[in-house]
Amino acid sequence: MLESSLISSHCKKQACVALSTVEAEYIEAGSCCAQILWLRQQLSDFGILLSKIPINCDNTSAINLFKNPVMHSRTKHIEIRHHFLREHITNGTCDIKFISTEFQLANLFTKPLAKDRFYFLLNELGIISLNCPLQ
Amino acid sequence: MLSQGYNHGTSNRTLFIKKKREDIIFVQVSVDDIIFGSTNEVMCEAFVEAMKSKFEMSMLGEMNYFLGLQVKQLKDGIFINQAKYCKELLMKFQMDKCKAINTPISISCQLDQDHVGKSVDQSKYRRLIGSLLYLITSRPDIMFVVCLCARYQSDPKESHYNAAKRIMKYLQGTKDVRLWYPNNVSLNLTGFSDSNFAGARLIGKA
Repeated sequence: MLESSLISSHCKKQACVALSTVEAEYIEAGSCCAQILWLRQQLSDFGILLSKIPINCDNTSAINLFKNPVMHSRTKHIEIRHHFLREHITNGTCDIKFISTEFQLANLFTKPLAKDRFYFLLNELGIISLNCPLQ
Repeated sequence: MLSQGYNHGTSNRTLFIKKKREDIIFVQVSVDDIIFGSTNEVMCEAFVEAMKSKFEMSMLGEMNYFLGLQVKQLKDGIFINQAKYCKELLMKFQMDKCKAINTPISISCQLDQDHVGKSVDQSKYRRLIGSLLYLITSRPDIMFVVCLCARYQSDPKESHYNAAKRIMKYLQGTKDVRLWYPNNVSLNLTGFSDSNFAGARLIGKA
């Protein structure tokens, strides 16, 4: 999202098997970071320099895992390449933030949604219709 | 381009940039189509002259159609949509007279490999998915469902085909949905990341 407009999005089945929700979110935030870095590079071409780009995640455990890299039985097996985002948080290019599931706009790309929720997210993402306003 | 004083973009090699004091011009080349924009009209004119002297090309004026995307530039923002492509898609698959539905997928829908289901024509299914994938460019609302259906291309069953048909029924009602890019907003990049681990019961891949 660039301010209030959607500029890039992707939806993909993960390439590896995760053991827990935290792990799945952790891996996902890592690939989101890659996308962010690419956009950041693009924007720097246009003369817009950004740092500390927030990534919103709705899982507190995953966030804590980024901020405090503890190794215990549930996390020690996570592959090194998934710790990619952690490095970028430490050197200040990205920042991970908590957002409640209600305002998690990426929700649209992960599961089937009911009508009200679906249209709420569409409006938030700037996807609109002129003739028949989505309500 | 490089001899004219343009530089490559860092991650996008087909973007060319030229800076002159306060002004800047961007040129995006995609195979045989070119779009460009600048803060200064003089730079645009200079670019057009330079190109015309070397290549045979036609100038189409303000952009309103690019690579299948309809672009509408208004005073306070830009609209991008693919309504025309969407209509053609529905015609191509004889779904242009179907009833419209509100959402692209039902919330109780659980697609899986469906070993017992009846097989459907694979090439037709692939054609359909391919066409829908292109539509995603301007329609992130169907991205999830199309990607979900696209996973079963190797052995499509009736249940998958019905899910794909439902997407088209949804499109029927929302043909002219478009992306809105307002002007004059601050430029802050924000990332949203989410995964659905519980939903991917059988394979454990979110």
